[in-house]
Amino acid sequence: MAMPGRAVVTGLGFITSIGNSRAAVLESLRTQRRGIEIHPELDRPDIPYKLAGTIKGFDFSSEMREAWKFPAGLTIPRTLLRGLPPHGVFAYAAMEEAIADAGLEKADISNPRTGLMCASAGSPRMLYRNLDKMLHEGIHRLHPNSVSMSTAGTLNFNLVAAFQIRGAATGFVNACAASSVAFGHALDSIRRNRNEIVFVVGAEDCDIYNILPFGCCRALTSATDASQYPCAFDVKRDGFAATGGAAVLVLENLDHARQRGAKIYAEALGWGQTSDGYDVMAPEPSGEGLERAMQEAIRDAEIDVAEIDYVNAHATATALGDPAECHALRRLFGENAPLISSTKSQTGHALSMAGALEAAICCLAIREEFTPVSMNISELDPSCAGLRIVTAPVDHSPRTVLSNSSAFGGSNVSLILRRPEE
Amino acid sequence: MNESEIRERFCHFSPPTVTAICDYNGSHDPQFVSPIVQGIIEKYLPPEMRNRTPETMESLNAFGIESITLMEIILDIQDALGLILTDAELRNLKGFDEATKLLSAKVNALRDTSSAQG
Repeated sequence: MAMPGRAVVTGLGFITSIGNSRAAVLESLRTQRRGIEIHPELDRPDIPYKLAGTIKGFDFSSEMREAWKFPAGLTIPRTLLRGLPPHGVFAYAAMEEAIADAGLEKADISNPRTGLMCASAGSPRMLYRNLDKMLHEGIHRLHPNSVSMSTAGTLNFNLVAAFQIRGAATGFVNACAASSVAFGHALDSIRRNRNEIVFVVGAEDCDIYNILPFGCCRALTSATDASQYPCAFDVKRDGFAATGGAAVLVLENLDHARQRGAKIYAEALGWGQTSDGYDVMAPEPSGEGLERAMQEAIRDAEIDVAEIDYVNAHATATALGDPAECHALRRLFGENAPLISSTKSQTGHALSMAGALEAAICCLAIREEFTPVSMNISELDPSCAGLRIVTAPVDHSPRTVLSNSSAFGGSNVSLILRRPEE
Repeated sequence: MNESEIRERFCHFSPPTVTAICDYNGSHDPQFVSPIVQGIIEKYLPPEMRNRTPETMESLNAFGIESITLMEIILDIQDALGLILTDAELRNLKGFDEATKLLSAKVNALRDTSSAQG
């Protein structure tokens, strides 16, 4: 039997609340520059939730795409733009950056051995507008791309066509763990030699339509002071601030990457996925399901638990989620807890894009030799006892990193990344 | 649509096209159908082809207009003339003269209905 292939990350692309490029995101992470502020669409007296990780330089408020505004330098052909939701625009921009970062040629991208694994929740904004128009003006007034621009799956529909991807393309809908699942399946597809390269894409709109609905389950922070909230692991935490944007990782067969002399951020060592089997929305309080996901990832990676020296926690700053994850981490690591932080307090919670964003942040941390800080902590919650939460910059260069994601349905996913061998 | 709504909806079209749509909107006069259709099609043509007119639906590909763009053109025509083309009408359209005749007939029917309603 042939040895299973190994997979490495060779390119990254970002459109995020803390920067619209790899360099800007890195600088923000190093300097703890916040991406969260009062979102203009939420800044109304009748809306009790105002903070979000806003995406700067874009404006999708017009119903006419010709009037949408993008940062200088981003141009999208009209025949592509007409079918893109806002997060499709973010994803297109992040794909372009990741492709350039990985040094991929057209023949590498439009290749039967190159695939695409995406995660998004679709576009509530586009869905709302299109259904409203359908009901009030009639079905024959709708743009022919109305379905493909709105539904979950819009990312893979559009990006396959835009970049002429010819290998396997799939969309994942595991809510806030979805792009971690996408990463895991991309890793498996490379290990099984089904693909040489897989683009892992997480993206979300960032507007009232996809953010405010999370207020219905009281999961959003009602604070307005972005210098203190959201605050994962802190005793005063009161919910998350959502964000959107896009994060893209180029996952590539190690031999393929070496042959073309590609820069390697990290090796993707393994992943684990479990379900709580408990509740539609609430996490199982002991964190047992997440603990099993981490154990499964460690087994898959064929490493010892003690090798993990940094955890990028899921920790969104909710009253139920953070303690469950802390219980799971404490049981898994015992007395030898690694450094732990939640970057969501800086970026916002990127929903189905969160796993890809945080895996990409871990790649930056490994390559650039720094440990991200868990911001906005003034008093650690007692549930964090015994855990080494990174509340201020530390001099630590992570080597083996675990990144957690949890989601509706009690879905838990853990990814393990490691510094590449010299 | 009132005039300001027309100007906003068609702000990316040529001024003569917008004027024709405004004039049509006030009169439902079929004489505006041809310039409106021509002006809408022109917007989607590459600049170097704007002085030429595709004669048949099949020739649109040579002008860089594929099926989704054709549907966008039809949406614009429907909005400009305030009417809907049925699936059967679209399937049977072969040429632009024929399309203009069909649209003019629908506009006349629209005008007759408006007159009858007083």
